[in-house]
Amino acid sequence: MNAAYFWAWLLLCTSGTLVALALSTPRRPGRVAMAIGYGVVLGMLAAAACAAFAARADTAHAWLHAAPWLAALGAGAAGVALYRQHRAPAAAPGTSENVEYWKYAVIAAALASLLWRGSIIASEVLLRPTYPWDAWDAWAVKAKTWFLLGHYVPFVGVADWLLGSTASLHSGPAWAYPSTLGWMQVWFASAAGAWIEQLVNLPWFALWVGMLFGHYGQWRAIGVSRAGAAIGVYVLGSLPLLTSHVALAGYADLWVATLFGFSMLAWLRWQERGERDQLLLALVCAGVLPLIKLEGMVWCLSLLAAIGFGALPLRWRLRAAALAFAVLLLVVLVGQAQMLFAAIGWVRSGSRVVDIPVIGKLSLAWHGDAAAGIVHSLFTQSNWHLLWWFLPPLVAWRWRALRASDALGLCSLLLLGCFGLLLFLFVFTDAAEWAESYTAVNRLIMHITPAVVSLLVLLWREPSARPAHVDTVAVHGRLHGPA
Amino acid sequence: MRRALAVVAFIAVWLLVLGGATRIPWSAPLLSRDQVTLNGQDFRPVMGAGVEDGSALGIGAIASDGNAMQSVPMDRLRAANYPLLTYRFEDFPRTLELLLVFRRADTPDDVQTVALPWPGDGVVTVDLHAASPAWRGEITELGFAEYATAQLVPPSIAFQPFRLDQARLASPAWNALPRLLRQAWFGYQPWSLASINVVGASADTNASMPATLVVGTVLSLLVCAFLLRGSRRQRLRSVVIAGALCWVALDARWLADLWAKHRLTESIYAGKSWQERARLQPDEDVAGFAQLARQQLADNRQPDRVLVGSDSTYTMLRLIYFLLPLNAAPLESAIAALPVRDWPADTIIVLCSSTHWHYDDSDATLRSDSRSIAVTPLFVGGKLAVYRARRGSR
Repeated sequence: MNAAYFWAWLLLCTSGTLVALALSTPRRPGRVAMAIGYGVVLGMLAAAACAAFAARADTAHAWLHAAPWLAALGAGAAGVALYRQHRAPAAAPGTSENVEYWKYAVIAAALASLLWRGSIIASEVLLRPTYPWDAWDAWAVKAKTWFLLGHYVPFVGVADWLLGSTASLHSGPAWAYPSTLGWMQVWFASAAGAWIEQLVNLPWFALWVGMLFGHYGQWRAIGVSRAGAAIGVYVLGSLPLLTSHVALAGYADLWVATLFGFSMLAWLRWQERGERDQLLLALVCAGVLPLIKLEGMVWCLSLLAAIGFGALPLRWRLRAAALAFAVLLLVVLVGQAQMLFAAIGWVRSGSRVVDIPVIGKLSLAWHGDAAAGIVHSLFTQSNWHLLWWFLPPLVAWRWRALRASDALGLCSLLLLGCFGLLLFLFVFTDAAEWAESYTAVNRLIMHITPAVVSLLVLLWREPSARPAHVDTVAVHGRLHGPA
Repeated sequence: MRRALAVVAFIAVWLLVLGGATRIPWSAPLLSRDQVTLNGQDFRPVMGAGVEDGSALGIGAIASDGNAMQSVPMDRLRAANYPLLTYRFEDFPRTLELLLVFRRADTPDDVQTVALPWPGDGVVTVDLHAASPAWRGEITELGFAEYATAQLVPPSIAFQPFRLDQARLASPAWNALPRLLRQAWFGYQPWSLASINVVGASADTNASMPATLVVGTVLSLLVCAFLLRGSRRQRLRSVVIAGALCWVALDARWLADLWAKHRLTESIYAGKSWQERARLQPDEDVAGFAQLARQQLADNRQPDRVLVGSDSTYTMLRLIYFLLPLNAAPLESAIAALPVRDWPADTIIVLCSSTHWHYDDSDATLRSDSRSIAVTPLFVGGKLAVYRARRGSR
């Protein structure tokens, strides 16, 4: 490890944290943790964007070309953050939490276990060369090519590659995958001075740390007690499949999961607290999803649809839901339909086939074995500890609280919709084999898992911690005038 | 009185649940009725080299293909009567994987295999009936095979000497319950390519620890609620505490497994430079082929395009990755995308461990079932061959 690698990390963490500070209301509980968490993740993505923009001609020194842009972004964000801090009203006197000593002991043990786990997976990342299949087959191919060639080359399909007149085109099985993570890896490889896979993969550990900090900060800002948020962080950080995706770094799924969770929390905070900057943060996180992974487009559109739906006045929501249901019913009854979705393109459905551009053509049929596979994945395998066992009873227990909170209700609807999409994909289409063979099923479920943990933590939240009279309609009114 | 009843019911519930999880028949006795004990010295090395070491067998070398195997003939042992296998090794390296190999009287030419949990230095018990449907009929030969953990450990550093102490086959008995559960729940499982998709073995037919804990806890809580009749608040607190304890137990198990996995990684890579770590690839043969192909191509004009083929998709994709930044893509994708006659001239074809393609010297053509490509051989040696495509392919 060299000094440049250290400075590259410091720059992106600082710039990212300043951006997150600029996008968060001053003097809120958990602001620093939230800024660090969102900042590290957004900083890495901003570094990738700057490298893609400024370092195409000289990828071997990508971080040097991209650093001024990132520094400028950080400086601008620092100015905004300082301005907002200066204009913010004085903080209300904080209320001290009375926490019993045994709770301190429990929290300390939970955090110690996270620290030990973190030290193991950080060491694992720093020791082992890139290991899991898609990490070297798909995600690192562009980055390794660009860095070792010393310049950018476009990746195209094999036919175009063969027909191309020069060798400036490259190809590979994952040529169509988004390049964001590739550019981020170029940033770190150039800072390390060589293609050292362990150092190129270290961002996955930072992502895990950022995810935990970001969720803690947002939970605190939404009214969860320190003890509740700390236990929530332990629950999230202890999930085995998430830990595996850090230890075996290189897949894009943890990025999608983190950004989906970040976006939903920022949206929820906007709804509950009326902080407009959080809406912007939610849109940024949602907007980045398609740039990480093709399936991210589905989650991005789900989030945008939920945000739009939540911003509607109550009477319009019912009409919108009725309209959506009617369209769905019509599609099912008619059997054939074509719908144009923004950023996805034409989605076509026939009597036994549905063609979704980002996923492919899928035959429709019932797959009972896949349903059993999903149940097995959620409840008997060791991927999630007892997360999915706890979810139904906790929702039932806190049903009144869920119904009383417009924001929580909307988030639940979003997660229910996303889970329904996954169920449809695995149980009614060719993707069933992914569930039967336990390949993609857990990774796709993982995309919404941090958000599900957030839902559990917020359901567990003390009733007194919930905001009394801020609802989406009121917020909508403040933003756009009287409804 | 109620408390005593609750304790008895609590024990009964957990015996019921744990016994059900390990699939021990209710009619089974406390101790095994029948057992067959095989000392290490009873086994003979089939691959690799070993010597008798007291009652054990010391394995001191592996065969040239990186495997070792020891076996013993059996006198038509009825598999259904002996589902429990207990084995003990000494100094078994963490870098090796262990297989049970056996032959059945009904298929004497077929060797059946069952992946066994890593033995470490302790005693391990597995239920073969649950582990493999192949464990049936009459067993005529039984043995163990060892090899570098696939796609995880570089074979060149995997082997270290170890001792096979004892193996024992036994009929079902309740005294095996703790060992079966310990193995099913706390047995070490190395990282695999599937670990990114599922934690643990996806085809694991052993007891599910999450499901067993939930069922046992729910039944225990119901029994306690019925017999002890606490207040609603007390019951709620019990549910929360029991749920938290279950989570912590599962997490402790996962942390122990993670730590065991990491010890293997440390044993291979710790204390080495970045370059050494990069050289220690689990598929060092493929990395070597890439190095060799690169050398052969360096002697010629830098190729515009390289197409890579292999019988194994894994080998083909790994070779492409190792060849980067060479402009490489899968051969089969190119064939599917564009007729061979339209390929640009001077395309390089690299074949690695490929039986699908054959070079026909008579007309300097590479042939597969339905395709032929006119080529000029640049290098042919062992499992690697490098060709330059010419015009005139079909």
